Amino acid sequence: MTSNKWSKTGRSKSIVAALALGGLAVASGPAGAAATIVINNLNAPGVGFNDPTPARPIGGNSGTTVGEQRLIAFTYAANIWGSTLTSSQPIIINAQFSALSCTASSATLGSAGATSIFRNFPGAPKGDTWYSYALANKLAGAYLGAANAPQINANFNSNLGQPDCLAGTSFYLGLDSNHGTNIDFITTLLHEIGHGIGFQTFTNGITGNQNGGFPSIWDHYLFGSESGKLWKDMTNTERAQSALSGDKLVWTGALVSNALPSVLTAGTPSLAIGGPAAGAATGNYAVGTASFGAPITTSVVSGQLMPVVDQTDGSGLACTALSSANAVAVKGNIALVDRGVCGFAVKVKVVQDAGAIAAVIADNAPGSPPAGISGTDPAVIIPSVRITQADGVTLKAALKRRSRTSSGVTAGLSLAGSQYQGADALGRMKMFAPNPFQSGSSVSHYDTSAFRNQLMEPSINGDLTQSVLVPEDLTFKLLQDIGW
Amino acid sequence: MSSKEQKRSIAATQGASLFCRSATLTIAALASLPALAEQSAPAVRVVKDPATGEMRAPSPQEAAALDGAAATKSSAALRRGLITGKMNPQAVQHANGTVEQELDESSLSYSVAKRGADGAVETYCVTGADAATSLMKATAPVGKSSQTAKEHRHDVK
Repeated sequence: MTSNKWSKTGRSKSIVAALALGGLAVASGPAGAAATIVINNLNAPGVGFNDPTPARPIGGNSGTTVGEQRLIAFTYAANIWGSTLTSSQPIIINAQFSALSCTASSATLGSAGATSIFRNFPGAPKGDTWYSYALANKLAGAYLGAANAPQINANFNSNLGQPDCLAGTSFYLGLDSNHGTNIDFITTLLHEIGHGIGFQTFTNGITGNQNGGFPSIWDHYLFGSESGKLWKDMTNTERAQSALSGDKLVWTGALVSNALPSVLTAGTPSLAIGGPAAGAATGNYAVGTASFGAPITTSVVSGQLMPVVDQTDGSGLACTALSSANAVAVKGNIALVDRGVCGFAVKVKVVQDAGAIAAVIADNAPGSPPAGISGTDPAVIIPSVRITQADGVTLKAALKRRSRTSSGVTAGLSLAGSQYQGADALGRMKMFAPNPFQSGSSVSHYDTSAFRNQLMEPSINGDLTQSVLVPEDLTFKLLQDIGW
Repeated sequence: MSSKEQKRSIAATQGASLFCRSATLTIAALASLPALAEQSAPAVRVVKDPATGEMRAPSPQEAAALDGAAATKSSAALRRGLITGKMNPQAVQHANGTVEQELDESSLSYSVAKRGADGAVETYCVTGADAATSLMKATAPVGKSSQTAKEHRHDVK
């Protein structure tokens, strides 16, 4: 449950909300789980959580002012954690909405995080190891630090959606995930509070320096598969290198490892090329998947691979409706097109309209592995993938002796192998460790390869649920690994 | 001057005084901005003209100086304790052996949203205000992801 009380000045209001808020459904955590979350409303009267601007109830949020809706949504998200975590100590969140950095096309949505870390407290499972404040209190069974000190600070942008602040895009304050093109406040807050209750290391990922020379509890589970060492056993240099090691930084906590087969999708999206004319092009190709259209599944989508050719240089952009010759070529087949000029979603829709059953887009710039392709078009229903520029050259060479309607080169799109998307070959969850280091995103998030998409990836994907539990999500399992 | 005019004059003078005080307060407040600069950016900025003593809008040079002061405080604010507000909080050892290290804003997670070329909005999570600001200003892709099938780039064409 969350708790709620007014201070004497009325300036700071602590909120205790009932576990069931106005009859709304609240996600239920493990049996017996409960932690009291106290939300201290730091906003002055009339602003932020106290904004009196009238608002229509939306998506199960019954608030009739902007401030009320913000408070209800914040409390709802906090309740999800409150009903999941177990602690004898309250978790106090200092919360407010205020004017944060914005431009017309970008905005700081908010910030949140732990206020303090503790080590060597009575009951600490591992000595000389930092634990996030809320977790330390739970493990100690006592309120560490100053009385009523907050465990988490949270501050969200009160100007979001105004003309000079990511114009036209607001926080969706409904409770039903029906956010459309707006930003779902519930999942954003779930993610940020997740960091605040312990989903992060306090070791510097750029320098590898441990805070005060001591490891965080995370460092007992972060493992560099290149060096074969846990972070706590590495030198600063080794940790800094591990933070850039791509798919070689993994989580070794048993609870995450045991649970991930029931959460992540098995198999890696792949393009298989064969057929009598494939020749040296025969084989499996790495692909980048699309954020639109049909997903790649274990059911193979296969057909003749046929190129679109609509430019004088022999390339095929498919930015406008195909000529009759190109349409005949791709109808019922898998279309090969080139990146460039127009959006990916546009090209896929064009070939779909001509009857193609899938699209393969060859990159127009070098680089490997192939990146995913973004875009939005609910009318696209066929699967599409990106391949590298070099692989595109290989395939086009194999297609040179094609007829108007067939090529003798078959293409199949499906999930290959048994490796879980987001885990390494040994079934360990990959942590986000790109090169170059992405400040703040690196290390303290799950890797972006995870599918289904996870709450604690560095990007908050639009298809996230409000769950932090298996089978949808592995956030709580990691928190349990470190002591929750 | 009639009594009404006197009252208006007094009110105007008082108003001007209040305005001067509030303007001075603005300048003073800029010099002592606590916590996040984003939270306390003033809506009105005035300076006192050294020649006339009157309040006016800042020149570009003066505005830049105010921005610099705010930016300096903003960077410094990153090291302000999240509970006590103390600068560069040090670890505290309690009698029972417990050691507490108050954190500062450099460890906070920031959610940032950016609108891409196709109009779609992507969100990112980074640590620290500086990283958030850099991400907001970045026009190039935010960087290659790890070597995995689902890249973190968000190319739309």
